Amino acid sequence: MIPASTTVWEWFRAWLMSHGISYVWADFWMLTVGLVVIIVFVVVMVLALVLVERKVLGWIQIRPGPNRVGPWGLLQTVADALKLLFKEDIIPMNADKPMFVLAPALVFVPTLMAFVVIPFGVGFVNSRLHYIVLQDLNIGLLYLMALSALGIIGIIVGGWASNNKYSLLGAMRSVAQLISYEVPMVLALISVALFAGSLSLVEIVQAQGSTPAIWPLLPAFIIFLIAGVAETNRCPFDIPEAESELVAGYHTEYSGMKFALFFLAEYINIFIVSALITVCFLGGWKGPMFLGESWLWLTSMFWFFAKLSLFIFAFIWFRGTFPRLRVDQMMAFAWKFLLPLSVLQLMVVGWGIVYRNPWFSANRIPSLDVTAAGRALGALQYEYLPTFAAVGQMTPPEKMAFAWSVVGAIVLLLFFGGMLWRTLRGWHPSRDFYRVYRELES
Amino acid sequence: MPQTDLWQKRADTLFTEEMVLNMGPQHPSTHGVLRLVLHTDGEVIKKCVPHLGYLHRGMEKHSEIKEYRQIIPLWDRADYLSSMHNSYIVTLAAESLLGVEVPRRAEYLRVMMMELQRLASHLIWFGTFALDSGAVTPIFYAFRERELVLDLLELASGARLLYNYIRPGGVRLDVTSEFMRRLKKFLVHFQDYLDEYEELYTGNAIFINRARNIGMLTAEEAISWGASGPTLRGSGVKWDLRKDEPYSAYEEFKFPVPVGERGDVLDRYNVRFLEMRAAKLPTSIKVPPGEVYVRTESPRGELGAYLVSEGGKTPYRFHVRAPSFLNLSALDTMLRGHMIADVVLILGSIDITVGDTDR
Repeated sequence: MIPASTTVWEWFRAWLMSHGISYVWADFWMLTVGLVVIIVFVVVMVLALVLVERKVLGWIQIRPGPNRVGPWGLLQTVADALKLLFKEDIIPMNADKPMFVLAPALVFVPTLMAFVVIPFGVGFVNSRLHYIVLQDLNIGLLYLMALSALGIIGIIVGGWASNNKYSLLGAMRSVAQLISYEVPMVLALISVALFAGSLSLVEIVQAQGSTPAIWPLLPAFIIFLIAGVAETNRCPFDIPEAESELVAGYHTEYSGMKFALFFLAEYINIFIVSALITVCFLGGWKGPMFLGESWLWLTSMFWFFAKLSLFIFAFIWFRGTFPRLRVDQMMAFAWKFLLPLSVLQLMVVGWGIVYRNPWFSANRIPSLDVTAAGRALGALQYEYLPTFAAVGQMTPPEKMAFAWSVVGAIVLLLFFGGMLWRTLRGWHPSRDFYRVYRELES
Repeated sequence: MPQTDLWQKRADTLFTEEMVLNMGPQHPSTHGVLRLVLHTDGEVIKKCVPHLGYLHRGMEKHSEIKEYRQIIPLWDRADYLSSMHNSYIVTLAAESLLGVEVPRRAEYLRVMMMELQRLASHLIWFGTFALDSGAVTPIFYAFRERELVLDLLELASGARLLYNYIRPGGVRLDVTSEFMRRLKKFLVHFQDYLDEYEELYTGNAIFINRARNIGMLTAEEAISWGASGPTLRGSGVKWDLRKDEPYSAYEEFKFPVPVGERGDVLDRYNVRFLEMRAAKLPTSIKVPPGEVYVRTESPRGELGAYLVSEGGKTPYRFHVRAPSFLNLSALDTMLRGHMIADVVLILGSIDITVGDTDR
């Protein structure tokens, strides 16, 4: 029996097998190609991400950002990466050499492994729905959490093996921070899993029908966002690598390609956390499919990356505006505020599930079917924006959820649209300043 | 400080080993080449020993072989962020022994330049202090306005950092009408810029939580350590030489002297910030024998000069009381029981210049 849907990688294997390749070799080639695609994607993505971060930070900090290498500075990060590749690989004399070499790999590999389960979108192959995901693991969330815990080992190994006091302090801080924030993060994700009734990321996306999980699970979303920033060691939780305090934290002694691996891991982590937020709270690839069935793969990926880039922008924005927390404040915040809040959220969701409150169960009301394929496949909805005609059939909690979605969408649209509008017409917080400056110069 | 007590208790009851952390002289946030030897228990500071001298240039000894007109540009380089005040202190010492009557207009110009210099210095402090606390953006905004101040100073003196502008008997050049026009415009807009800073940084809950109740310095401690300037005023002592012992033409000007209450980092931050808010304005010689101590209020505190002359072209002894040096000596008192993350904030809040401490 043919399942209703599968992943593009399964399709790839089936395609290979149809060309006379044995199952084992088809499996091998499938995984190899998948791995190469992931690595290429990750490298390109990180280079772009770093460039975007520097450009956005430049915009926040009234300076142009990189604009020398290549057109509009587009090749700046490529040049940086090449520089790091050719740098001398220094290992400090008193370092624990094998551990020192091992640590960057320990941090980097888990971040790559996380890409296995992240669903980027859906597409049709031979009018069958294929998820763009390497493996739709049925324990996807658990797998991701396990990977994020694995990365910590690399950090403490690196900090200890460097034989540097700053590295050690940075590693200790990092471990304390990551372990503390893992707890509320996992509890927030359990809320999501309860809501969706599954640990598989694809299932979680599919469970979010007309309403993304962000509205019924708003506290969990906030907890996860904060914990996600902490997990990636980003400002205001950049305590482990606090430049003004610990020079560079656990990677103080690292240079060249080993440093680049830590650096890559940090940016991949930003991507993964943003992707997780998108998948768990914003309905993943779902959105109005405006291009029709044959372009479903493109529109779904467009929505996925559009939502994801919102959070990446937020990460950069945080870095541009926030000071850093102190170690004890950071720990107190995790254990005294986030943890009780996440437990409370979990209790509320559990109550909602047990008493079948529609506010807390995955939304299964009929929604707008733009694509013919959507109609054909009935049960699958690609859009979480229901028609206003559907409002009449809703139960009161569903109406409330719908109202929240509309309000949220309007607020977000006004906010980002306003920012875009101001940018396009040249508004800038410092515009008046430049006018005055020109006057003063004249 | 209950939190600190808790850490202290923990440190007292467990067996822990002391770690000596060498912060500096090459460190991103020791403001130059200052070296702090921190005796820590985990993250808690038990003792802090500042080591000076990495920027020692023997300026006081050097002054004894230089003519007075040569000393002025030399001392410009002592505290390079407030060189107007440094040249003024040399000039004032020489003038006191000479008994020179300085034209009133020159005194006004001096006051104007020194206040502009204070603005430039405080702007740098604001930017680096925010940087120390982990906020990377404010420094760009602060430097943007500092550029305007430096442009003004350049228009008056021809230099942007080390001016050699204030001379015995007056100033090097009179200002032009162009200078006054630009100065007025700048002062009109400067308050708006400060509002922008406050929006960006001062009201931030993370910053307030970090700066409150750390680096406490009581009024008694501050006085006994010889602290001065915003460090002293942050502890609640209303002592500003511009008001309490007016020099130059300061007695004719009205300006507020902000003081803190608790003496923590937040208070010192607020004092400096309010000082910026108050920015609303209006050849070789021979010095006769004698000795004199003169003092002025530099952005960092009381900048004093002790001059002994034997009547030649050069001083017999020229000693400068550097505010950074004395403020720094109170660091250990402020740091004990705090965490490593607080070191940079507390150090930033006393706003030292290593050129000033080491001379």
